[in-house]
Amino acid sequence: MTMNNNVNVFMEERPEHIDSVQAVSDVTVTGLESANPMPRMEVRDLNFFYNKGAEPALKNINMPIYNNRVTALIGPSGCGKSTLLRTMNRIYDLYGTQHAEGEVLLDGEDILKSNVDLNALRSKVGMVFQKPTPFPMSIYDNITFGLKMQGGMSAPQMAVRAKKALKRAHLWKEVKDKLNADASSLSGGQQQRLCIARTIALKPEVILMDEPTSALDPLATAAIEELITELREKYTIVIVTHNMQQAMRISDYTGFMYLGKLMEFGPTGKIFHNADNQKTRDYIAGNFG
Amino acid sequence: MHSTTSALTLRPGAINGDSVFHRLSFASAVLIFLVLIGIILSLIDGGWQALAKFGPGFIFNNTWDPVGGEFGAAAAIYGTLVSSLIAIVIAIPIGLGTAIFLAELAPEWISRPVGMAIELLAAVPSIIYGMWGLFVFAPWFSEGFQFWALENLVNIPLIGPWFDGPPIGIGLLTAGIILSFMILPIITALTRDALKTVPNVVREAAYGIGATPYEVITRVLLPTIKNAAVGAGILGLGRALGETMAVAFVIGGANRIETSLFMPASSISSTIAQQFNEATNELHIASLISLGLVLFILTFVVMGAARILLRKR
Repeated sequence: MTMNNNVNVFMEERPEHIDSVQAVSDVTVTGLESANPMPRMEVRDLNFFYNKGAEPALKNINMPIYNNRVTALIGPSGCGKSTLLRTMNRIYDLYGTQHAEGEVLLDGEDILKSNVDLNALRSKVGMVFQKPTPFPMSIYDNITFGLKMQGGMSAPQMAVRAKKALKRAHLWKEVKDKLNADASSLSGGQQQRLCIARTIALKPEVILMDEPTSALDPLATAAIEELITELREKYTIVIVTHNMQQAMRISDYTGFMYLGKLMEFGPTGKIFHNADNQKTRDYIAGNFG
Repeated sequence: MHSTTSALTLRPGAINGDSVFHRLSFASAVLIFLVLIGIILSLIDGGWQALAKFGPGFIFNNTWDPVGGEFGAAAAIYGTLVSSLIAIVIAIPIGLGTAIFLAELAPEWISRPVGMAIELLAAVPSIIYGMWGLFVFAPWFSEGFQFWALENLVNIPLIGPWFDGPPIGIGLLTAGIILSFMILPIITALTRDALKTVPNVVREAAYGIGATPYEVITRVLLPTIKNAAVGAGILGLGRALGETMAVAFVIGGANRIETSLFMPASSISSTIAQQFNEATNELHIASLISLGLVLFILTFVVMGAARILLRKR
């Protein structure tokens, strides 16, 4: 795989050992400046609370999200990986009791600030969920739903954009003759690719994926994984996954989370083969989780 | 049967127990069917005298003259349909709006008590609605709306004639409004519950591509619960069609078909309730029972039509 080359390059360039969480952000950010990718997003001193006064569900997270790379978040259930993902487009904002402290920067701008236009943010940072979530409308309308809300596009422009998005999501051939059919008539794997197409139709900068293949069969999973690998040329992707093989296959960087903390972050090859943190090694080896 | 107790052999008695259970549940299902057929047959039997005498004309004739011995159901059918129509026209938008507010927009400290109040409203006996409608609502409606309508709405083309009538507080429109209060809780509660069953991830997906709450609700959530919402409306309509006491209090009890919604009218169930005690001659009683049959069929047709409507989508 081509990714492995990248990973090895980074590993050679990074002789330092990372021992603590605090060190992670310093090392990765400084250590990779010389390398190709630039951070598209940055999480800084992030704490997250599901309820006022409750224990933080995320504790002092610091990590970069590199441009045009796939970043995987792994860790046992309840470790906070989905929570972290959900701060990156502020979808948690739908629930009044949840709040985040710290900074999440997108292109240098803190998206946690109260004056951020959430609709604009979410069209820049798209999200794909665990279960396919087709809207109760036709396949075509699913794709153009977000475009219509963004506004400023004529119907032919939208049609072009929709076709491109469907092609990029490898769904075009399967649906081109039934664009007006109800989206729920598609299979689970097709629905998930539709959701990805719907997201990329908006030309986001970052795509967040929350276990996008866990409800799919192996074939559909393979199709999505291939798609993710391709999408990384144009988009920055953050993916939460339970499946460590999947993280290894498709990601360039991996963050291991445990009990609300980011235990270790680094190039995927290093995390899986030569992790510094004992917990990370135990988890990768399947000793817990 | 085999006497060994290997893992694959049925326990002794298992088949017997199963077949008893099977027959019992089958019997319950058949019983309901028999009751239904029994009701229809006894309605036809009881109303036979009238049905035989008036034939299909019973449905189309709007004369109801116990003294002269001529009976037609048209006015009562008209009153039933129009009052129910008014009720759902008022109750569906308000119920839908309330349900959306409670399920999607209101904070917990508002939605919980209001939700409970709505469920209590559904438990209020219909006679209470009738009394309240006659003694409280009707006088207020007369002074607060009807006089105003007579001055301001009557001259509007098309809808003007609806409001051209005596401002006496009771009548077809009042019955429809009281009915709408009665079916509002059903519609609201069912729609709200349906909205609550929509998984959060659907909302998140819609908000996640930059939709506003209005767009999420109108384009995603309402289409998702469309069937449940239509079902709620039909259940409300079903209740409105058959509602007796409250309507009997406020509809006015006049057997006429008038354009004006202010005019007293009658519905099938209110006519039966008001006249059954006084009906002495056999033809009158048979006509009232036939009226019951008509209501039964009417409700049946509405429910059936609704089912077909739902299946098509």
